[in-house]
Amino acid sequence: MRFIQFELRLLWQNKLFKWLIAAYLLAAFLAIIWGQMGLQREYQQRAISEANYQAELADYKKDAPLAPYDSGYMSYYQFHPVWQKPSAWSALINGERSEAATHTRVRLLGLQSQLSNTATGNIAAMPIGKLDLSFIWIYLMPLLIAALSLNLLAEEKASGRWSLLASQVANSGLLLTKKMLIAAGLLAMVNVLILLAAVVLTDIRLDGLWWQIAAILLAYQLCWFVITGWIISLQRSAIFNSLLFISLWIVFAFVLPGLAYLYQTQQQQPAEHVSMVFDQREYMHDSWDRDKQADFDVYLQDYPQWQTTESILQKPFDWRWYYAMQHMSDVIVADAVNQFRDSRIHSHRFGENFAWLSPVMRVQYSMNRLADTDMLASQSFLDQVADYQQQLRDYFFQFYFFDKPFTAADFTKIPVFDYRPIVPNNALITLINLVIVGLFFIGLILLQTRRNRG
Amino acid sequence: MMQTIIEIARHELITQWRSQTLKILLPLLLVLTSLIAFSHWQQQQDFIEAQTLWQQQNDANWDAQPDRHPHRAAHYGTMVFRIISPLSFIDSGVNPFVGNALFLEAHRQNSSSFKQYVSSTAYMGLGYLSGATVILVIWPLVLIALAFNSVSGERVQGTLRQLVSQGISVKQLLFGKTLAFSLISLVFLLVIFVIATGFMLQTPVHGGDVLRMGAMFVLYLFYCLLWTFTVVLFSNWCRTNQQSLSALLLFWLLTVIVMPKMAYSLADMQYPMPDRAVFDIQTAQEIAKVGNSHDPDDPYYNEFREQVLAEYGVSRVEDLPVNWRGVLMQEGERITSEVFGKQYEKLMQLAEQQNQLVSQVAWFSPYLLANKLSSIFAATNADSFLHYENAAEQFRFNFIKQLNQMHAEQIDHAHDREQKVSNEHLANLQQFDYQSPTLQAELNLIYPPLLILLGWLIIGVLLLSRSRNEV
Repeated sequence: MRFIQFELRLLWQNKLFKWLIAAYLLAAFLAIIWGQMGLQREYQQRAISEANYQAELADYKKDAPLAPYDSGYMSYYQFHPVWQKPSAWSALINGERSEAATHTRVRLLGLQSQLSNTATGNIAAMPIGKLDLSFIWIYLMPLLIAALSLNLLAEEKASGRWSLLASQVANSGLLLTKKMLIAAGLLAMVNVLILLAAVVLTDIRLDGLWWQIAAILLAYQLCWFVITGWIISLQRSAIFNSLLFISLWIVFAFVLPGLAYLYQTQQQQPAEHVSMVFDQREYMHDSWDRDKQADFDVYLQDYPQWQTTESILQKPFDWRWYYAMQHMSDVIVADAVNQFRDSRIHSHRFGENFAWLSPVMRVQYSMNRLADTDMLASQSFLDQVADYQQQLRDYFFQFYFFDKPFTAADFTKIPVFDYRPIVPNNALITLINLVIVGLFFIGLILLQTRRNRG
Repeated sequence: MMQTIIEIARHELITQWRSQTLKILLPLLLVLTSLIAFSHWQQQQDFIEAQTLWQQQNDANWDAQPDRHPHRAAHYGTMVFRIISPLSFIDSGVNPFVGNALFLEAHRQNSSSFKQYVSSTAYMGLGYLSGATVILVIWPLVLIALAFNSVSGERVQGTLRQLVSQGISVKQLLFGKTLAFSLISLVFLLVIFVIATGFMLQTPVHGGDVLRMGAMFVLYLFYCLLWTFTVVLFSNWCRTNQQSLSALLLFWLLTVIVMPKMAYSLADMQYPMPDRAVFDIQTAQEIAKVGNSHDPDDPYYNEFREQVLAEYGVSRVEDLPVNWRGVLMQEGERITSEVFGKQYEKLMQLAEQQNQLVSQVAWFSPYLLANKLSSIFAATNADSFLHYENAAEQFRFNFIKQLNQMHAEQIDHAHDREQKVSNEHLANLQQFDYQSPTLQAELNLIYPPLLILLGWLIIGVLLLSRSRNEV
């Protein structure tokens, strides 16, 4: 106990230590507040689109009941908002959310050309990226750990205290381990403080997810402490320690993620998914020049639920044919869409597997998953939008195909999009990964200690 | 004076040549950079080829389309495929983040879609892995590792005292060291650019690209020089080697990693932009404010009809020598396009305000300045992308306008929908021929960051030459 007290007093007297912890806390709080503001903005944007949606529907409702021809017109103009509703954690862990549009609108036309809309936003900012709490945790915290503990031994040696201390205790390695554990414990407390602040300042709740993220964060922190410990155990100069640490950090945080990306892109053909929109458009417009009745007959064969409709198309124009062809234009590019999905998932999986080599990547993948801000979430959103459009089709087609007027009551039954996050499931793997990396470096430390003695 | 500096530089180079650090780091970085550059070059060529093929197929389909009603053809529209700059393989700029295919149709302004690759860039938190990133982000770290103790080490070992007693001033020493590390940077850059030139020569090269590449080389050299000044000065200011190393690493972390990210986050908070859905809604609302061309009682379009009727001196749209629907369509297109243009400009103004705020921060981050210049020189900056999108929108408007004109002139008002124009007329329409801006046209973008960077260089020289003999 006295040892801990003494060490704490020593740390407290260390100005650099105080400043670093203060800067870390300040940056973290700032990131939490900014993140939460960003999240609230997303909710505001959604409120705007919802208000507009309701106003537009109310406008049509005034003329209700609408004859099928008019409600057909309505479906041509009426966009339905879809939103990849952010989790509370996305305020702290932005992940890949800025890479695709998470809030957009779809109508009853060919889906793929509507989904390829990119997000608005400042393009110039994209290569730099934004600062969120996950960046501070994953990329900057290791540097803080290095600053706190890397030169414990070297400094003690330089101050001449080490020889005194080492002569008094039997096992100097143990002493050093204790010193590091104290630093690690302090940082852990600071991190828990940040996590609790997040509960207070954001919509994050102290639930199972919180504990998972806290566990990952603490394991990650320990992992870097062990790495630092290994470097110290080499018993080289402070300079060497710093350079080795920074090199390792660069390899884990820059080189390996970069190479993983390079490999992922090498596996792909550039621009191969353009056909999703290209072929869709060709099909859609060719249909105007083909025998409309023949196309419509085929559609009715393929979709028996609409077979009881009047099979002869109205001249010169029939909404049933129009929406059937819009739907078919999605059907004929289904293979391309599946390929697009496969390439995304495959690329994501590869990155995740590659992450076994780098704790930095592993924790990033893991946190993005837990916050539902990764590519799996984005792909699930796209799939859910496709399902939603199917619901819309099923709903509106009843009116067009069975010649039903669209009444005021029918407006309230229009399906509503509600994003359901997929269940996170990789916290355990992440912990195992971090333990393996930790054990690897502990092994190196033990080997080194034996060598040092010998 | 000069001779002493050269002698000191020579001495430093010999020391470095014998040191482990240089022997490990320089070849490692050269191999890494060349590998990245090679792979990016290959991907760039593949991409350019793929885009060209898509464009050819699109154009061929357009020409081969059956006789169509002009408005049908306007909905069919056309697609344009962006060809990335041939210097993307050195600095990819915004390329990995933006869409490259744009569908141009009547009534609607679509956004560019389809990124070059589907993989996420989010896991490269320290920066996209490209040649430029290695030079701008990683090479400064190497310089720090090589030179942090260049002066402080001499001081700690007491050799500084010896040198001064031999009549060498600290100023000469600092310039000598700077010269040595600049030469190392020069070698690094030369090797990379020789390799890059080798790649460039595989394809026909335009004079403009040679100029751009030269500008990039000079920029990187200046940037390395600035970092050399920084490292040597820090090394001179700090008492111990460890202090010098820690201070430099912190400086690097702040100016290269933390400040740029903070600046963009702050800018985003300060000038929030509407998201895709809200932007589309706002645009639609503004268009609806002008009028609805489908509403027979719409005041704006009624007035427009009266104007057109008066212009031709007739009283009914059926008596017009042109097809009223085509005229109406063009007026609608004009309004949509104009309103969209205004809305889009508002959006871009927000982005511009964000970037202005970042430029303020960039005064203190040579990395941000150099990064911006580098992407301008490589023609992979955000502005060059927006220039393309604007040109495409211009083209779209004119394209649809010509089709509306066909509608007005070649389609009779009666039985409008059942008529078609010959495919030859459609095939005669010009396809998109994009001209990217020259470097000269972008001078207004280049000057501000360049002048600040030069300002820092001058300050560096001043600080070096005013260093006193403190031993």
